[in-house]
Amino acid sequence: MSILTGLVWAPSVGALVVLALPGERPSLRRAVALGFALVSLGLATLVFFGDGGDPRREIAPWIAPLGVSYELAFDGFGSTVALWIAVLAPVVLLSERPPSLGRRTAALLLLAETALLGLAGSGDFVLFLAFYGAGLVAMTLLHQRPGAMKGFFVFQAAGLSLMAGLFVTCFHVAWAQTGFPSAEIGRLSTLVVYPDAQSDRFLLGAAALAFAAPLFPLATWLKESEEALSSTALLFLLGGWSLAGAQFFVRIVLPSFPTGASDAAGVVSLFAALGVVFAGLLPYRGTRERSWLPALFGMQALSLLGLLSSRTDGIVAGRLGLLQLGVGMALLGLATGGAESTAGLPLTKGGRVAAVGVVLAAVVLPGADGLPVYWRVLASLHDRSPTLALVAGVGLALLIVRLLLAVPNLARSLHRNGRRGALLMLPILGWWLWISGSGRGAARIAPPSALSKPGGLDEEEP
Amino acid sequence: VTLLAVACAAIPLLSGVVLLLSTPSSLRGARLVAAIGLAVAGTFAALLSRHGRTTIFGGFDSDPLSAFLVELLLLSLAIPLVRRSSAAALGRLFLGGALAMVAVSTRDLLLATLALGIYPFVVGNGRTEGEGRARTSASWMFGIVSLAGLALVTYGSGRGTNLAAIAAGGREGATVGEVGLSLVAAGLVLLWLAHSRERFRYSEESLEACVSSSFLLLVGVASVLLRLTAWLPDSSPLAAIRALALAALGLGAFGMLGATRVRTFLTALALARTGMVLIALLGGVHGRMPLLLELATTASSLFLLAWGLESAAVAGDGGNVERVTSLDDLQPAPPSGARICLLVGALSAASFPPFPGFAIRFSLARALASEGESAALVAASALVFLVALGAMRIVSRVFTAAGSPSPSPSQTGRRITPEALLGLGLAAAAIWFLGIFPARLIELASRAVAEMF
Repeated sequence: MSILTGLVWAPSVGALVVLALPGERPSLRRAVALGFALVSLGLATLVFFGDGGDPRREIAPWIAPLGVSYELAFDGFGSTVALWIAVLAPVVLLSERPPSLGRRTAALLLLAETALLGLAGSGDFVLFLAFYGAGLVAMTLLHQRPGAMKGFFVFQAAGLSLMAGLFVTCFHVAWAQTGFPSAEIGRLSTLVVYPDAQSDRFLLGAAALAFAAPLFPLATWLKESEEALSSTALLFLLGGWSLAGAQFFVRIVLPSFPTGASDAAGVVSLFAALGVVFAGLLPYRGTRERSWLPALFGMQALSLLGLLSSRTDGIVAGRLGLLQLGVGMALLGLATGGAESTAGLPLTKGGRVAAVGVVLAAVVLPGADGLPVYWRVLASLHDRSPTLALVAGVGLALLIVRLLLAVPNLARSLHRNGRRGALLMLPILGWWLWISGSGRGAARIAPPSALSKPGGLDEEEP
Repeated sequence: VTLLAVACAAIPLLSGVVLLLSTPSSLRGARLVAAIGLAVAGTFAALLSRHGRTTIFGGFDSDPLSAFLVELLLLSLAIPLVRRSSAAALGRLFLGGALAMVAVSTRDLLLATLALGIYPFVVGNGRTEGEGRARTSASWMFGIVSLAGLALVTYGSGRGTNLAAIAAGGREGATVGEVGLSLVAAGLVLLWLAHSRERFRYSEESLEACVSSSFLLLVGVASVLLRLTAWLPDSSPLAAIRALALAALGLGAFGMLGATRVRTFLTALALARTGMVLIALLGGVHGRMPLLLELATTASSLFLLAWGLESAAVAGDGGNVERVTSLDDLQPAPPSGARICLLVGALSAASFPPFPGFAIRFSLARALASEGESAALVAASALVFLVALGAMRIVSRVFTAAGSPSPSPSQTGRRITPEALLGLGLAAAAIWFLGIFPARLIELASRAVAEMF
């Protein structure tokens, strides 16, 4: 078994072991789940550091008559995302005390981790769909109320269906042009597709992203999910699953349809910029402590604006923005969740507000090179469309105001939720500072040079 | 070859007679005889599939396609045999299976439509008024529509009802013949619909027996339509099939979303899957392999779901057994193992990734795209999405606790017998495994369609 297969499937093995454990032994259950998550973390670290810059790849035939293969290929961004997921999973498992972490929740969280790791590394779009569907089912089953379960499933499955639709058209074209079936993601960028067809396919991919990410106004399930998920599952949804749709966009849509992306970027950017504004303005009717939740799709939209940039630094900022989205949401989730905890955070009121300030700063402000991530997104957008940059900038300002207004509630819940949440923030903050600050982290996140070709997304400015 | 082909159809016929004649004391032996018969017939079919196409008695085909379909029929007869359906129901099913085998092997439209036409009379039992009424209406529908179509085919072609002869006749009288073929197709699909609805809604047999009865007829109908579209590509009734397919898929999808009774839900699900099978006919040459695999996945997912729902019916208190009749009866939920099996069954029925069948949809979609059936593809995709939402109704009921009505006292503490759970688990694992690794199945189906002429 190779390192990549071990990385992806170790949590699933853990899920099976957790399900097979006899009796009600919560501490053992969590220890086992944590052990497998740590195995995955170790392997993700190896993949991230140990490849000398070349993407790792593993391939085996799966459904040969249809050209479907079991292909895992972690490029720089994929291995970074995998490392993040592998960091997040133990944090999520530790965020609950053992009695609160049920057998089903632990197993489903581990299955969802496998799915997310698979999404980061799938080299075959049928395999990608399989991982996406598995993760979607696992996240759906974590919901404890039928209404919330249906709401989440409807929107996410709509995104999955649109992804499948896009893949079907590509599968047909690939078969027609090459004479044999192939589901390899890398092949998509080599297909000869007319520019208008490229635009159509890109827009289909963007629509799938809008459902899956989610982007405004397709996130109406968020409030119900917040109420129906345990704090552990919500943490994983916010920090991990919120990157699933973006994986599809970054790894498949943008590299495969560069001409379509540049042609249709204006329309999609307009919707994204408006989405940022709405995310800042939208009243949230869920739990008061989580009034910051609409920031999720505001940050998704900001990241999308970066990904659609015509400049490499804008694209890097968009990719960093996605990671910051996961990190920020996880931090906010940790600050708000875990109401069962009993040990309060031993800080004065001022200290608590300062701690919340650190969390919020991690959410929106820093890039360790000194420039805020989303500022770089706006700067790159300004080159293409100053008006859109202005709209998105207003949206970002509104988002920051929303987060600032949430400070008192966050400080209260941080005080109530105690040391556990605060301690668990440390590895996340450390990871984020290292990724965004170190040269190695930034280099891994940059798009591959293939995208810098003429007509591609990231033509450098003269 | 002739002997093997005749034996394949004769064995279910004789097994059906043995089962019908068995007494309660000899039922066990009759089941054993039928099981051995199925195994022998399955072996014969496997041997036949190794030969190329052979014409028997001038109007029957022994080819890999027939062998593939016969294997599907035999498997669908085996499930209710393993599960404890009544002797009478089993006997009728086996007789119906023999009729379906005739339909899948013949190229004579008259013989096929007659075999399928009397199928509802043979398989039904006429116990209830509603059932009898439904069966009568089905036969009338079939009789009027299909026989009118057959008359037009005969008149239009001037060469009788043998497909090979019609195909050899060229385009003379094509318009009349095309209308006739459309009527035959419509009649057969309506026959299937009426029979399946009658079985699921009015029959008192187990869900597995109902699924088996519906599926046997579906295989027969699908094989006739497949031969129609394959032998007569220029005058094939594609317009009628397109309308029927989308209507079936739409009715099934919305039926799944609106159903409150388990049997209505399964009827709608079977209808939706039949719609997918019919849509595969629009894919021309490239749609034939996916059609066979759609049939296989339809059977497996429906059987698994039916078996799971039947097994979930066992209530714990006092050993009494309550059938699950309403979807709300699924709460309180059965034990974890049964829930997982129901999850596999429900999402396999929707071919939701990573459950069985989803990869096959790519080749099906590609076939539709290559035939220029983009509108049908888009419509079918939207409806398949609704089917997935419908399947989630089962999942949400067995995996959540809130939102259910108060359980009756007998429902509390519901449990499943270890034997049932083991069987269900093995079936779910096998179906999931075959669905995820379908390469061998694809090879068999590809060979079957490649050598059907």
